[in-house]
Amino acid sequence: MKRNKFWVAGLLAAAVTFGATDASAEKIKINWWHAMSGGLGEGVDEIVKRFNESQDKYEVVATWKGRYRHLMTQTIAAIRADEQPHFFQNNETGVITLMLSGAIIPAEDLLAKNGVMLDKSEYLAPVVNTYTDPNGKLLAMPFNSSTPILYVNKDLHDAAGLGALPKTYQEMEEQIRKLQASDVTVPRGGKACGYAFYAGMWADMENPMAQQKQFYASKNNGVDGLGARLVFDNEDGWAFNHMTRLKRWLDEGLAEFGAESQTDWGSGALKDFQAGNCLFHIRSTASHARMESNKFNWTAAHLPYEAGTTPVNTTIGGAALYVLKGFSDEEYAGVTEFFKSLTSVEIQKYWHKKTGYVPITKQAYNELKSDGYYNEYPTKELAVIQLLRGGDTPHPAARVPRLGNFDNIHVAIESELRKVWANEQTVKQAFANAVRRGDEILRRFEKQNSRQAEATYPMLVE
Amino acid sequence: MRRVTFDGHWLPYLLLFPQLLILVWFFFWPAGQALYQAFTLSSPFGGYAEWVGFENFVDMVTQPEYHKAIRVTVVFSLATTALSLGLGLLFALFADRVLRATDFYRTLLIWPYAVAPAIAGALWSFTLDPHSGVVAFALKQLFNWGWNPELSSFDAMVLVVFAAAWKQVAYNFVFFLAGLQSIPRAVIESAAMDGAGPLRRVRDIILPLLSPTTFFLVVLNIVYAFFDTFGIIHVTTGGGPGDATTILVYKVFQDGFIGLDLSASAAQSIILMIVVMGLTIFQFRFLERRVHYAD
Repeated sequence: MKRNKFWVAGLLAAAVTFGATDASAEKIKINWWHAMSGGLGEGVDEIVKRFNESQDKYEVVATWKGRYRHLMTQTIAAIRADEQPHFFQNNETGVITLMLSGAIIPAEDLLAKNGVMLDKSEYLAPVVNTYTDPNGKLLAMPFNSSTPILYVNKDLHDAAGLGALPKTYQEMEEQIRKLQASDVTVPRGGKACGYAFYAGMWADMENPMAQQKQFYASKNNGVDGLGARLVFDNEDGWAFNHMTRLKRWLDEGLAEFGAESQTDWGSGALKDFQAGNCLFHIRSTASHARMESNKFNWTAAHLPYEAGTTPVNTTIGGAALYVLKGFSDEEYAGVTEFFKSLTSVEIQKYWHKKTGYVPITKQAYNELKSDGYYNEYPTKELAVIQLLRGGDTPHPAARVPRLGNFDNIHVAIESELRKVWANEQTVKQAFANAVRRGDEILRRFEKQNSRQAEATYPMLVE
Repeated sequence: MRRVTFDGHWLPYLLLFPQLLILVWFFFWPAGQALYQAFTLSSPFGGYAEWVGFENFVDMVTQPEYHKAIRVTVVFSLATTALSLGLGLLFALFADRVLRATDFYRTLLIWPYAVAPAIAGALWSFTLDPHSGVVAFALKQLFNWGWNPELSSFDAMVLVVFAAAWKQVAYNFVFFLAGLQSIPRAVIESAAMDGAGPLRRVRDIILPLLSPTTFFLVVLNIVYAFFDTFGIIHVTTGGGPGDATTILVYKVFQDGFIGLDLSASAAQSIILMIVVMGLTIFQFRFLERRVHYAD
């Protein structure tokens, strides 16, 4: 009797094992590593589910691997161990690192090989030009793209009777003063905080600089060569003036600083804003999903600019999908299929509505417009309008800086500026240190990569 | 006394083999890799590496940020060690005198050691968060102290030292308690009969007799503060504000894994390894002289 049971169990186990292998052999597995958590992660899962249900040849498996920088580190480790995913998501700061890595297959090549002709003019220009190489070839499949906008606590704004939403930093200041002079109070008690900021370089420096046509680095923001240097420290420059202004706001109580969280995409500034204590907060348009949990009425406006100037386009943040080397043609055909589905109007519309990331094709945007979607959700259109200000030919300064080890440069600038907010040094000292540290990082990257660059993109090397 | 010896060589080597294999695999091989990387300039994706001699070392040690990281590390490790040893000893002295529910108190005191550094960091950053934390609110209400580790270097250092020491207190407590219990009761009792009060007994009897334990813990705590506190710093301050809490090991991470400059990172970890080895040798040569081991 016992013996019988043993046999039955064995047979069952065998059946389960073979059954399982049979089922998975039918579909070709495609691995995608991404950095989308929370509501954004739900969006990714839905897109993948729709694709997997739409056909029975491939199965895309999406795995969340932490924030972009963690994802990049893990992917590099996987590449070295020969266990890389088919494609992975990387943000706008990693373009040059991956371009020179020798580990990727340019998305345009992949699509062409599988018979898909890509019409780049169909995409929003600031999206495409972030990911094109010096020959104009698209390196990665653009996916989630955003740009910063100004979020406003509408209840506070209305209570103080501030009128129209601010367009410029000058109007912002004026409205904060008016609000603080009124008798409007906030949940934490006392007067409202005006501008809650976290001094993320992307929202408080790179994007406003882009729309003011201010260069961040030499050689057209680093796009034209590895020898680029940081140039934002000019004392008549916008960045210098803006940081001086932020410091003044901080001293006068018009602004409050709340650092970026180490573990998620939040920040102290976001917490203060979402608690209803602050009038303004500048942040990615992809925070729409997050703002929906606000317990007060809120609205949004364009990223402010300098009074008396006309802003050009802002640049994108977000990420694109990089295809990695080392797989069969059949698997790459599956990746191509998935990319096609990803950029379809239907998925683009879904993704935009779910997350607030902009639709990256003009067709998706136009359809959303004619559907009347933006009459209902006007704040979601702000980012698209900002990105399209430069049409198909954005100003060269209004392009995402392409700098080696950009994340570490961010760390350097942000940590030097933090000492300004903490009264430990002046803006001038901070910028001098930040530029010195940033240039050291750039020179090390240049040394590290010039050999590869000479072989693949000689125009980048002097 | 009869000595047991092996006839041949193969048996001892065979017996040592598993241990040696683990050492080679998990220590010598990676250390060798780091050494190689420290003298080359390489792409993080692998592929090629160029021999650059001491260039990586020179680039690193000439950076003002590196000097700052050394100063931060010294302050941080001394403060953490002092606080965690002090509290561990204090708790052990009290726990040793507890008459009722001894096991209950001991278990509670040992608990924090089981918490992973990153979790400890998360706990402390919730509690001490300047925007929504309880402590920030209380400090503001009671003392009008605007606690803000996001902006104040001092507050940030206090935060990481507390979080790091809190975890280690439990470990030190266990060793101190064991040390205390191995002190013969007769010695303490006779001191008491001679009229020594509790404080006097601690100073003249207990502390000298605990010195081997204390010495051992100083060495271990410094090594802990140098290396194992990475998770805590990463979760709470991220090395900031500015670079106020960027200790050497955090800089190794930042340059290597955020900056993807593995060569710079390897050079720093080699320097760090040498520093810690030097420190340990120093402690054994000079501090150990003052340690009294019981026969």
